[in-house]
Amino acid sequence: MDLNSVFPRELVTVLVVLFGSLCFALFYFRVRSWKVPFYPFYVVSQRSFKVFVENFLLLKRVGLWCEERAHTLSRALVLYGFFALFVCSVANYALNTSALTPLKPQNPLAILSDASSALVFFGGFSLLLRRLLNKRRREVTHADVWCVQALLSVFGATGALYPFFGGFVGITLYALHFVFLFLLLLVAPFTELAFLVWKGSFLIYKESRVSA
Amino acid sequence: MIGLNPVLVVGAGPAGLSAACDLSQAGVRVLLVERREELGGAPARWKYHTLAPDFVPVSRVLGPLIEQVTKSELVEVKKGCVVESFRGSVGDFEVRITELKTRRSETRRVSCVVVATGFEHFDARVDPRYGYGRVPDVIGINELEAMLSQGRVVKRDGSAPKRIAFVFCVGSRDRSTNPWCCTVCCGVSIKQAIELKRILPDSQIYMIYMDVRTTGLWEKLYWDSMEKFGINYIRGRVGEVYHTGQKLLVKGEDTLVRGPFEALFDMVVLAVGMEPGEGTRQAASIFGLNTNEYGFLLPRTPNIHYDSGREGVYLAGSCVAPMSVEEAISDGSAAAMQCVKLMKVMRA
Amino acid sequence: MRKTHEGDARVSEKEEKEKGRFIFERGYIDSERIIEPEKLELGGVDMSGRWGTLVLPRTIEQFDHTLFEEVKKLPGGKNIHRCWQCGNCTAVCPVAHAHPEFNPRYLIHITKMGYKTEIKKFKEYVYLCSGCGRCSVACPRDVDPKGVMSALSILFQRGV
Repeated sequence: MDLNSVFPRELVTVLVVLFGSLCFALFYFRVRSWKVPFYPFYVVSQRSFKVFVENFLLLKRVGLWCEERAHTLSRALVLYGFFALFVCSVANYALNTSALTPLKPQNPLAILSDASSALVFFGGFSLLLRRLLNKRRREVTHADVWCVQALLSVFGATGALYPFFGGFVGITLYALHFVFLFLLLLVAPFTELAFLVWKGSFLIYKESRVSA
Repeated sequence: MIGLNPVLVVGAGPAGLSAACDLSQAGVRVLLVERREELGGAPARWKYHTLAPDFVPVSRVLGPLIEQVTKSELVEVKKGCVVESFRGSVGDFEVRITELKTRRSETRRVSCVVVATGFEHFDARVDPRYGYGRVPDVIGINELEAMLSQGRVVKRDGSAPKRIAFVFCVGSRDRSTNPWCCTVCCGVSIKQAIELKRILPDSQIYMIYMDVRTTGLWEKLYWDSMEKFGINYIRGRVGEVYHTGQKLLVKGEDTLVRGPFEALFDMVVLAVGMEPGEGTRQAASIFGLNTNEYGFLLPRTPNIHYDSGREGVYLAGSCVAPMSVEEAISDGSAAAMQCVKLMKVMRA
Repeated sequence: MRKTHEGDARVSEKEEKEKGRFIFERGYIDSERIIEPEKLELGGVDMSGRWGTLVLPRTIEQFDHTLFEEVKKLPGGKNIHRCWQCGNCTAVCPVAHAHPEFNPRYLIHITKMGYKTEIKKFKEYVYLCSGCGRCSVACPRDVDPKGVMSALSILFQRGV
């Protein structure tokens, strides 16, 4: 069964744009409710991008949580996995080869997409386990963190698994993959993730101003 | 135990009352001698309002003891009296008891003695830092307790205070005044701060502490004061309190900031400690008891309060070491038990 | 004592060193407390520069709880009032061990008491928090220092 016919490209595009915009709008209004500047607007520049790549992707100055290797690794998996997934999805969409429809796993872009999903899954799941297995950590974790980590895990899992299943199972996994993505987009503005993105933009903005 | 001389209990504070109460309920005759004109010791003298940690009214704890002691036919209460001399041997001690007002004495025979002469609050005039006795609206926790009993806390000019500071460790843990820790002042101060916040909900209260020693189950007072009543804590010491003409200026050091502070308050409450009083000093000399370097009565072994080392003389309460009302009551009971044991042996 | 943050675009280090350079044991005094007027005349006498130098006292003169009230309103900071300054959070904080000027316990203390001068000195360091959450696990009173640091990160952007 062709997923293209079950999930027409136009429909998926519209939904992604819709939820993406909703996520961004919610994020914007939440930050404004804190009565502080919305720094993501300030970092749309070449210099900022350079700072971002150096510090967040190459981890030049980030990474003081290095003492707990498992934690650092899980966070890195989620971070890089998500970026890679984003890049792959954009590539798939642009080349019209399929972001929005499944590829046969032999295609290199497909393999990359699948691998990224797997990274997101492993990262998210190990973060979740780490919190679940320690009584004290369980007690101090807020609801929003559970939501995000759980959603990341299932989002990654469904994304990594759907190419290997045909028929009804494949379709369900594929649909669930998007459902979890949309849920993530809706929930993210109200979680710590939003705060991290805001703080991250502030730090990039500050750094890019100085390294002028 | 008919035929035996009564037990002399010196002091009718919580420890003495508890001893007299238990002895009378065990069928032993008691001669209770109290220097003041009322029973109850420090709680009565300073009009204590409630006891930590559960805000139980003092009357509920001491009331039954006082009632038992006054109603029992086995207890002879002599208020306004002191013991002037003591000699003899166990079972047949000879004591001379003098009434302070009339200076009339009488000689009595007693089988054994429980010394429960209690404590005095530290007189903060000895430590001039705080201006106690010189500066208006600097009071001790004893005076605050009396105000709380009346349900009305006011400055000397009659207005309600808005910013109140409690200073911990006044006359305690200090080589220049008293080196020991009074164990209960932290808990009592915090209890009072909570009660104050209930009466004056718009006030801001600051506890200026060196340590917070709310031991055992009293710890919840500390937590509740912060979590339920918004009471502020500053770790540091106060160097000087003076009156600006309208308010009190408290100067001190905030240890955590490593810097000086100067802030205006309406009222400063000093957590004045417990020290051995005149009664305890007299008792030590009259009954020939050992005292430690601080003036507290020294038992033969430090961890057993009642054993004075002298046969037939037992110690109880805060004349031995600073303690809470509940501990004094237990102490009195323990001393009473020793008397009962002794008298059983004597009868045999 | 106080490390100048790399990204700090305020008074340059050279200028800071020059202010009050003749004061004995100058290292103990924060530059912000030194006033060295370029031009000052008192009663007809020229007191400019060195002669008019004033060192402001570092006495804390007020306890201002408005910032504390603001922190309590933000979601992460609602338990800030529970803190009893034990220092467990700082003890387990990996950032504090590398950068001693980031001290979660101290940030909570100066926020609660409202010590404006100290807040001005240390507020830029709150952004060093990595969000690892070890402080919240170690805290015996469930203050959630991680949440408080997030709240302070937001609050200090409001220009307090």
